[in-house]
Formats: sequence, structure tokens, C-alpha cells
Amino acid sequence: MLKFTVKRVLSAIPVLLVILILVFSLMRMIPGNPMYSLQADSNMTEEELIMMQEKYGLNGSIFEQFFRYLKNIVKGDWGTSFFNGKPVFENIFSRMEPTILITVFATLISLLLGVPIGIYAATHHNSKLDYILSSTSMIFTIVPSFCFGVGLLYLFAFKLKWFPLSSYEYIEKGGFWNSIWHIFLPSLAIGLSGMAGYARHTRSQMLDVLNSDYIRTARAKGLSDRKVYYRHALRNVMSFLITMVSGTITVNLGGATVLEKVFNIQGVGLLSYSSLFGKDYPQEQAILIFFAVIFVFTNILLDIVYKLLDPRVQLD
Amino acid sequence: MEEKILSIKDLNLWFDGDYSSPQILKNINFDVYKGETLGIAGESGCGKSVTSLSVLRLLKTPPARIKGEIEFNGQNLLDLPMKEMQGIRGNKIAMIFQEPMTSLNPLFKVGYQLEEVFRLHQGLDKEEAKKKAIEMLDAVRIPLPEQRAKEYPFQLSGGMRQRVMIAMALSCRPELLIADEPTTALDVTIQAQVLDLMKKLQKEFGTAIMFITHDLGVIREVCDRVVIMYCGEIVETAKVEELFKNPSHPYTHGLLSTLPHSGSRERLETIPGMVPPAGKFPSGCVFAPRCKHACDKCIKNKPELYDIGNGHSVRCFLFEDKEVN
Amino acid sequence: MEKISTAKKIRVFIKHNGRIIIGGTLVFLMIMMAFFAPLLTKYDPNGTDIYSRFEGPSQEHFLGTDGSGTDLWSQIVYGARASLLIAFIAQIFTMAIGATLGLVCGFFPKVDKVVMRILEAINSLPTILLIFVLGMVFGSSYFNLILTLVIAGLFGPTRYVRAQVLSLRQKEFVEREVAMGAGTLRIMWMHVLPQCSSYLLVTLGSGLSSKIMSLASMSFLGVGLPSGVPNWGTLISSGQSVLMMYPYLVFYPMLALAITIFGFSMLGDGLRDLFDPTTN
Repeated sequence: MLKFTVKRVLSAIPVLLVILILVFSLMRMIPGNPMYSLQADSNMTEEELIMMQEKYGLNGSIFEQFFRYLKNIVKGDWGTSFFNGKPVFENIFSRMEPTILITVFATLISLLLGVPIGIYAATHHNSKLDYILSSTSMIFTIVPSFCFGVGLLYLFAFKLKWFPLSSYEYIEKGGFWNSIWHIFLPSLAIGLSGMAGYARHTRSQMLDVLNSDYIRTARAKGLSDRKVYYRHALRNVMSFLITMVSGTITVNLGGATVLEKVFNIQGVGLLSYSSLFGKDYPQEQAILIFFAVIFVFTNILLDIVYKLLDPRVQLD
Repeated sequence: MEEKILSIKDLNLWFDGDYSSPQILKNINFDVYKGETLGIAGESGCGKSVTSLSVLRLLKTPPARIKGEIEFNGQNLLDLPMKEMQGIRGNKIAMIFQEPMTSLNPLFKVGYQLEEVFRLHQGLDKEEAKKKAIEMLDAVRIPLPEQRAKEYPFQLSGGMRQRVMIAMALSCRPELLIADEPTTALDVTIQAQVLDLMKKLQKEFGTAIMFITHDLGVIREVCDRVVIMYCGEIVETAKVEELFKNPSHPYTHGLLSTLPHSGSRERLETIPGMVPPAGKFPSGCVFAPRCKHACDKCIKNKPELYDIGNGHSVRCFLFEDKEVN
Repeated sequence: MEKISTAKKIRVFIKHNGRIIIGGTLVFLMIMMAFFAPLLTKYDPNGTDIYSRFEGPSQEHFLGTDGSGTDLWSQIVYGARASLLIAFIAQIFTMAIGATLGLVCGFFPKVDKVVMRILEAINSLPTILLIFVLGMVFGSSYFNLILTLVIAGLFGPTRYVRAQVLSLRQKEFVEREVAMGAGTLRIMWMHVLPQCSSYLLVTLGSGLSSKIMSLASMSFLGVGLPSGVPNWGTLISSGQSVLMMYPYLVFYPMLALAITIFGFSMLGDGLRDLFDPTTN
């Protein structure tokens, strides 16, 4: 198991390196020199501009810039934001709480609603309720999650006033449940959009498993339907669900960034969009890498859980 | 006469589909006696697996629709509430399946899958069940049973897995074991070992076996009596020696001629034509389209199962006059 | 055998093909709407009229007007054009390029390593953010927008086709053909593409709806389409600022979006069941 973990972590290194290169080059491909817009704003002289370029590592060829960037990363320096001059990761860490909270909470909502619905639909295959559940959960897939967000905002925050209109409050300030209350609607919007996928895939996977030979064996042993479903079948569906969670993490992270805009929550998502519009390269690079790292590491974690669940798994 | 433990009476089965409901089994009647081995033979698609699955009520209803009686120790299994049926499965009647590679749950240890049976039917606790499970693995001649119990199915070979399946099936010393092509997926040498093991355990436990196979060679080796099925009907039934000495139905002749004889240099014969798909079964004698003796009568009328004595019955007009009593 | 009544036949046909019928109809209606947009409204989707701002639905303005007095119905009708056209083209290119890349990756291990690493890296970023960044990189033009959507969607089809190629290469008949000296191209053409075409067909519906969603999200965030091109995402975005007072400005564009995506998903699901019976 330890060997598996180490191997899996090591296999992430080349991926992370490619991500670094990709993100770095994407940033440099955005047309327009960020320094010019800064210059226009603050009436800098040519000399000051050159100094600024050196300060932010924007001088020299793109390769020189990249290797300087890598060297600094190794030293632990990811660069500073063009805008507030703070280290980029300080900016991210100070704003990541709502983003992470929304992502996690949304994933939980999708899982906790979608999986039971899928199991019920599969174990009552072709019943009326199966049909109703499958088609109602589909309703939630026909608009992007931000549309739900707008709808929920209007209904529950504007009209019914059950949820706050004010933007996010940190856990430190008002406690955990207060924060959850503030991110509930955006999380629900993302969670409901994802729920249908979980319901549908759990259902089809469960149906597959229920038709398998080993389920017939379990029945032939005399196990009750309950035990067949929840012990023998569910375990097999679970390993599949883990793969699915790893796929939805990025979707939900992305969803969180958009929902931040809908609900005006000052999280990493909004920071990311403003950094992009303001051509704040170091900041945006760090954000993209931050998201990619979250993805890569949750995947490692999920792979380890998968391995624990399914002993057949082997890394190639 | 010996004691009947299973008696199938007028079993009919349909699969309800969107456009049609083909009949898969037609008036199946046979008995299984205590401690004997009854073979059920036929090509694939003849309904032998469906018959065995309907005994344990493992077919999904719907789409399957069953009529008739399946009496086990005088009790009609088809009338039992599901809960009681579950008490019989794996306990009084157990089953082994054709595919050892996929018949064990890949995510549970072999030992656990055995323990489950003991805990379920004998109410043993975890420790006792574990001990029993290892005993059973030992009984099916699995080397290092303690260690094997801790392994997952994917770590075992096909033959080993089939032994585990047998161990699981025989755990509660069932009165009836249904073996659905238990050796078909195995290598020939492993096949012989598994058959051998089944025979030995049968003697030890006094279990009756319903042995389903398409291979008459295997039937000759392990069975006492045999039922030949074709297109969802029984076409011939006899004791094994009688059947091999005096095969009567043209279909049985066909099946026998496909068996290789040792030392013979003859070419193996095949039965011309194919088993018709479900729903397209002929209305007269089901074998008529492939039979070289077929006449008009065979195509128009359905023959009965004629008792030609010595426990031998044949569904063929050639034997209409030879019927005893 | 029993006779099957015509009524039963129709019922069974609807049971199996109902989704294709519903989805197909909706998609067809949407395409017609986009195509005949000028016939369906007399207003310019960009025209402003300061004397009729924020008017509710009336005989003059079927769905009312927005803050610049522009007719909402005409914006929605014209908005279908951009959404559908870009989604269709982007989806077709995603499939074509994805399939080609997948084939190449499956047959040339060296290319495979490079391309798959890059695609994995792309896949590790949240799609919407990636699309946003690419939108910034390429700027707003139809071509670049399509390029953005294609790049963001490449991972799925490439990985699928690649996996198909790899598993097919192991199969005996392909090995035999290689042994007989068949060229790589021939093998691809003869065996891999037919295998993959049903997958590509089956994912057409979901691919199109995800493209439409991405496009709407992009416009909602303010990148992608050149300004002045009417589209649903921008409508929702600008409507949100006056959501409290005029919720219908958000509601109708969303409805248009929902109907379109619903249609594509239905059609896609129906096609999937038709071509891939193992899923049900």
C-alpha cells in the first residue's frame, strides 16, 4: 500500500510539470503587455517601466522568463501580484475558504442526493418511481449551474429572504454554520446540477452490477435483497463512484468560480477573473496551478481509496 | 422406489417481451430422487439453464412468467414467500454456476464469501463461521486453506474458484445441488478433478445433484439418470446405461454421434441445422426440421412422451407403437 | 403466435423512440428559429429605444424589453443563431480532431506520450476557467471562440478513440493484418473508425449541450463572442443586474437555453439507447 502511494505521488510530478509549462505559456499568449496598462494607469517613465519589468521577471526571452520562474518556485517564491504587491499564494489563501467550501459542499449534495436516488431507481427498475426519479433529476441538467444560481438567488434570497444577500462571511467571523448558510445557495445550484449525473450513473452501474454473475451467486446463497443490494452490489458501485467524484471535482471547482460571480462571493474564482481581465500574470498563474494541484492531489487520494476498496487495482 | 426430493410438474415458462412472449419451457416434468445424480443435457438454448434457475426462483419475474409446480420435499417452491425461499437457497438447495471467473464477488475475500453462508443459515458468529469456512476449503482440497481464505477471487485460478463455489454450495450440506455446467469453462484435467471431487463429496454428504451440461460424455461419467431437452421440451429421459445402450430419440442419436470415440477414426458428425431461437420453436415435433426421419405427421402433430419401459420415455412418433401398458 | 395490434406497436415504438421524437422536434424547432430569425421578429436585436425601456410583455413586445429598450424576443431569437451555429461547428471539430488525435496517439507511442500529457494537464484545470483563459488568449472572434471550445473539449473523444485503438491493436485479427503487411492507415480506416463512429454519434447530443452550456457560461462571464452579437449568456448576465426588478429578463433567455439543452440531451439519450443497447 505504501509502495502504491509513493508510486502514485511520483507519477503526478510530470503531470504537474506539464501543467506549469502549459499555464505559463498560456499566460504569455494573452495579447497585450500587462506593464503597459500599469504604465498608463500610473504615468511611469520608460526607466521605471524597465525596472518594473525586471521586478516582475518580465524581461528577457520567454525561455529565460520560464526558467527564472521555475528557479523561484523551487525557492518557494511564486511571484507577487501586480496589483496589491502581495505574494500570490497569500492572496489565494486569504480567499480560498468560500471556494473550497462551495466545492466540497456541492460535491456532498450531489453525492448524498444522487447516489440514493440512483440506487432506488435501480433496485426498483422500471417502476413508476424509477421513471419519475430519473426524469426529474434530468431537469437539473438542462441549464448550466449558474442559471440555477440566478434562480435560487431570486427565489430564496430576494423573494423569500431565507438566505442572505450579503456576500460571504468567513468562518472566523460568524462560525461554520453561518458560513455554510452564506454558501448554501451556490452550493445547492452546483450540487443539483451534478446530482443528476450521479443518479443516472449510479443507476446504470447498479443495474449492471445487479445483472452480474456474482450477484446471482449471492442470491443463490440465500441472501436477502437488502444484503444483496447494500453489501454485495453497493461495494462494487462504490469503486465506480470514486472515479466519478474525481471527475466532478474540477467541474465543481469551475462551477464555484462562476457561482461566486452570481452571488458576489469574493473567493478565488472572482480573484481569478479579475486577475485575468487585469492581466495579473503571476496571480493568475498561481490560481490555475492551485486548482490543478487540488485536482491532482484529490485524484491521488481517491486512487488510494479506490485501491483500498478494490484490491485488483494496479498502477501501470 | 426411492424418496423423491424434487418434483417438477408441468413447468411452463414464458419471457414477456414488447412484441411477443415466447414460451421457453413447455410442460416440463421430472423428479430428482434422494442422493442420485440427474443429468440434464441439450444444446445451448434448449432451456436447461432456465429450468435450473427457475427451481431456485432466480429468474426475474417479469419478464419471466412461470406456471406449474416445483415441489421440494412436498412443498411448492413457487408458492413460498420470498423470505422462506431465501431460507432454502444455499441451505437446502444450492447451486454452482458455469462461470467461475465471474461468479465470486471480486471485492470480497474468498473466506468472507464462505462465512456468509454459515452466518446466514446456521447463525454462527464470525469466529465459528471462519473456522467452518476454512474447513470447507479444506474439504474441497484447496491447499493452504487459511491463507486462501484471506485472498481475493482474482488471486485464484479458475479451477480453484470453482472449488470455492463448490465449497460454498455444499457448506450447509444441501439436499439438492444444482450444478449448471460447472466444468464447461475449465481445462480438461481440471474438469476431471472437479468432477471427481463432486462425486466424492456427494457420497460423503448424501446430496442429490441436478447436473446440467451439454456434454454427454460428462453425463456418462457422473449421472444416474438423464433428461434430454430440446427447444424447451423434454425429448427423452432414461437411466444413463439405458440411454447409451439404447438411445432412441433422433436428437439423442445426434448428440451421441458428436461425441468422440476413443480409437475411432471416423469423422465426428454434427446435427444438421441450428437450434431455432426462442419464439420460433416448431409447432409439431420440435426436432422435425432437423430430423432425417421426419414425416408429415411430425411437422403437423406434437408427439407425446411415450414410455417404452425400463424408465425410458421418448417424445417421438417412431416409438408411438412401442409404448408399454 | 399472437397478433400484435397496431396500437400496441405504436405504444412500443413511442416507448423506445419517444426521446428521439421529443428531442428531435425541439432541436428542429430551435434550428428553424435560428434560421428564420428575421421572419419571427420585426425588431433589431441590437436596436435601442429609450422610450420603451423595461417594458413588460405587451402586444408590441412579445416578451418585453430590456434596459436599453431592446426587444427581448428578438434578442432570444437571434441569440439562438450564435449558440447553435458555434456549438455545431465546435462539436464537429472537437470530434474530428479528437478522433484523429486519438488514432495518432493509439498508433504512435511517442506522439502519444506528449499529446496525452498535455491533454491531461488541460483536463486538470476547471473547464470553465480554462475556456475563460483561452478566450482571453485568443480574443473574441467566431473562429477563436470555436478554437477555444474545441481545445477544451478534446480530452474526452481523444482518450476514448485512443483506448479503442489500443484495445483493438491487441485483437488477433488486427495483429494478423499487421503480420500480413497491412498499413497502419488501412487498419485505422477499416477497423477503428467504424468502432468509434457509434461512440461519436452517441456523444453528439451531450457534446452539443455541453458546448451550448460552455458558450452561455463564457458569455455570462464576459468573454467569447464579439460584443453586439446577441446571445443567451450575455442576456442572462445583463439581466442579473436588474434581477430584483425585472426577473423576466433572466427567465426567458434561461428558458430558451433550457429548451435547447433539453432537446439535445433527449435526442442524445435516444440515440444512445438506439445505438448502444448495453446501456439500458
